[in-house]
Amino acid sequence: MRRARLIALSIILGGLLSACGADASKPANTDPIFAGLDPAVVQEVIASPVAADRVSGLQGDQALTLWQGMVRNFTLCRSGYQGYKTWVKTGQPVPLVKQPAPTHPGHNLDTDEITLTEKAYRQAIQGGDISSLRGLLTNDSGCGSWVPAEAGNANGPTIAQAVKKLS
Amino acid sequence: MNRVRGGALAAGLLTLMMVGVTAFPAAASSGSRTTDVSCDSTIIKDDIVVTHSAVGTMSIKQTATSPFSISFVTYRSTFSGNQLAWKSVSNGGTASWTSVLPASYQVRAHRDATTDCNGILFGEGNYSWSYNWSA
Repeated sequence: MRRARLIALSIILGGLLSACGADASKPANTDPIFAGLDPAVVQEVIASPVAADRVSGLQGDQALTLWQGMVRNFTLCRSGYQGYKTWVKTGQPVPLVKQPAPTHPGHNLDTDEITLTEKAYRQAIQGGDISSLRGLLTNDSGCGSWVPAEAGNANGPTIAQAVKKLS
Repeated sequence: MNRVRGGALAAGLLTLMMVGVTAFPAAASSGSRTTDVSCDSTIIKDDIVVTHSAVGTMSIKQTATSPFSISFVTYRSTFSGNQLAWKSVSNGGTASWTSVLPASYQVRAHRDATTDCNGILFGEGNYSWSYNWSA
């Protein structure tokens, strides 16, 4: 029921923004699906042409769930990258920062892909083997292959490229 | 349609943490599909969602097309937006990706170049695309 109201609210909000000339294929950064997440990252993901390509072809709640997942993916990937940089610089692993949780999660937060990847990052850090974290950040199928290393710099190096340069 | 099972993904990622990201055999699942893909190369077909439950290889083999077409294919995670590199396949050809992280992935495809598959009718039409997938 709550999910249905959330979708309905998103559709109404999307319609209002469309009428004002906004890109109807993208959610507003005020969409309830983004509640609880970092507004700066939300803005960055919505503006990302790669993110727009990744969500193309999806509609309704499937698209909204992916938009939310991409925001969490960007946030987690940057946290992992920051941790990796510190580890390289100091020689000591540092715990992954606490990740923001969406107020209206699109998936089960205990078992979804982002949560499980976060656990993998934490395990890699706790295990003390920097190559494990490097492997996750540079994997061709992972976030590092497309998330920009620097927030908002969509034309700059990806996290995978930046990590390889550090290694 | 296959869907992600959190336990399987968790096991895959935990294994990843223990053994690193390379050379771990995936719990294979596979199947065959035939669907229509636009002959307009700018239109991407989003097809079935499959579960890739452990780090390992994923592939798509193009088995037949009508009319004959070369396709670009990939898998996209339905939750994180992570996507494998686009690869070109002709009939009988296989695109494969190694060390793929566990996730729920959707098959994506588009024609290599736009052509008119629709004769005198309006629009470019579609081609029939048959493929085998392995996750």
